[in-house]
Amino acid sequence: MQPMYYFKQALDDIRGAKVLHGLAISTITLIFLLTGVFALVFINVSQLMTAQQDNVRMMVYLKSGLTAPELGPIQQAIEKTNRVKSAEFVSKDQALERLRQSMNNQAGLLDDLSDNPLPDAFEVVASPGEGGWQGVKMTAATIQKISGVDEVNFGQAWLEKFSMVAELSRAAAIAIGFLLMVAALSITANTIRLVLYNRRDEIKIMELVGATNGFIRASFYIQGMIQGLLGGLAALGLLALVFFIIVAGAPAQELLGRFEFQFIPIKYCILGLLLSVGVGAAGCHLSFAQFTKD
Amino acid sequence: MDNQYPELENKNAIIRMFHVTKRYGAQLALNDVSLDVDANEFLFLTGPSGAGKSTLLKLLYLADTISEGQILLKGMNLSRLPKKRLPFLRRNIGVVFQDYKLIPTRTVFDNIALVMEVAGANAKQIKRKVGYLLRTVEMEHKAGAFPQSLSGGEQQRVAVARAICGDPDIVLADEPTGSLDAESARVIMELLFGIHARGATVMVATHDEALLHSTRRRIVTLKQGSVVDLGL
Ligand SMILES: Nc1ncnc2c1ncn2[C@@H]1O[C@H](COP(=O)(O)OP(=O)(O)OP(=O)(O)O)[C@@H](O)[C@H]1O
Ligand SMILES: [Mg+2]
Repeated sequence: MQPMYYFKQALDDIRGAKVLHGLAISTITLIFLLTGVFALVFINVSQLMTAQQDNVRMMVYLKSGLTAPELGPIQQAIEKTNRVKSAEFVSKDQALERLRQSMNNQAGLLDDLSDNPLPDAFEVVASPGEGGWQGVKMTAATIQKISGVDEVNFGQAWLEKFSMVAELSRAAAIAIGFLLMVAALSITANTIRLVLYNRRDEIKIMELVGATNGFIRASFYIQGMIQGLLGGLAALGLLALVFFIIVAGAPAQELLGRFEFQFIPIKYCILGLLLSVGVGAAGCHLSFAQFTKD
Repeated sequence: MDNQYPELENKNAIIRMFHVTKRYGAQLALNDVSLDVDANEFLFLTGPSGAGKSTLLKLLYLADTISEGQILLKGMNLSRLPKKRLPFLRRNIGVVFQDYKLIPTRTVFDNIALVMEVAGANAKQIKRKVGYLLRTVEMEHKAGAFPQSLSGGEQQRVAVARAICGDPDIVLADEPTGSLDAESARVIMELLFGIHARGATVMVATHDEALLHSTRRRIVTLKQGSVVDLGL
């Protein structure tokens, strides 16, 4: 029939119950803002993690007693391994010197050593790429098998923990997002239900003069969707504001050096808005289900 | 060949009630009512308060369900009407409710327009038709007023205008002159006669003796839920 008619009716209803709709929209805004913050944190943490994994540094320690001519083939074998970007020889003397520097004023302790206990090593930089943590592990295993290699160390424990935390936070984000959507749904459902009850006599009369269910419901669905959309838009606006003023500003940037914070990609912003409209419509649907049952 | 059931044959009837009973709990509002109303008939329904006049009309526009018996409306069995078709059936029935049932949050104009909006008419058609009806019931000056600000008689005139707005085949008017002075009542009755003259079937429930005897129309009398006079 006439979309303009439904739209006008929906706007009239919203104007007629300003406080109610205002409260609902604010609450939905808050919920979507919270969801947005979670998404933002999640996106940036995973971004940070892939940035870290871009260059994984590993130390390949060699067996003692190797002679200089034996080193060349080992280096070549390492460099030929998948995902390895570079391999640089660090002799045990260089290693000791580094250690001495890193110990600063306690370096005197090392003077008592009669013998250098450190092994010769290669410092290897690998880029795991798509394979992520699994790729690093495979590279390390391959290098480990090269004859003359004693041990490969690449912060296994740390990486493993990091991956686990990322997995967990992803699951948590999905669970929390789901709960928040349920909350938004019930808020819309309750608002529309109140409007429905306020107008139940009118609805009865409309039915008596031959209004179809669709005719009666259309304006309510529009109200629900407007509610969701306004909530979603407000949340997105606030999120963007907070992001660009605080997060992308100087102080946080300095802490993380070259790492660049990312806003939620446009694709997901649009998805979020569609979700907010969908939640509005679904909430409306719920309240009708309840209304016709009574 | 003899017809065993002469009562089942009435090709002119637009409304046919067969042994209709309506109970509200233990209260018997209608008791075994059988009644035929011919197409384009103008009929009064009378009887003392509580006789079941409003109940009978309510069953016809399906505001309530039948306890026993059958009603055929334009050949359709109302007990078997699919829910989806109900709105479309109601668009063929204009009702003047005893309690008016105007929507308090809508203006006089919008209350009348609702019938046409619901049926999908466009704004221009609505404006023309509602304007004409407002002039006819002498309410144009109150087009933008809300129902609470109207007198009982004014509300009743709006209710009548709404009932005939969609050009229904059947008009059911429950005490349409109940709160009107003689002159206003005459205007309303003229409207109902007018829509009858254009082919509609009209049923008017009333216990206004003066109205009943002002014209020579069929009068059906109810008493305690039963038909005591079919007026044939
Ligand atoms: N919804 C209802 N619930 C219970 N009883 C009802 C209901 N509607 C009507 N009744 C009863 O059914 C009987 C018939 O009522 P109805 O309204 O049809 O009478 P009426 O002839 O229209 O009376 P009036 O002239 O006062 O309008 C009355 O006894 C009334 O109390
Ligand atoms: Mg009555």
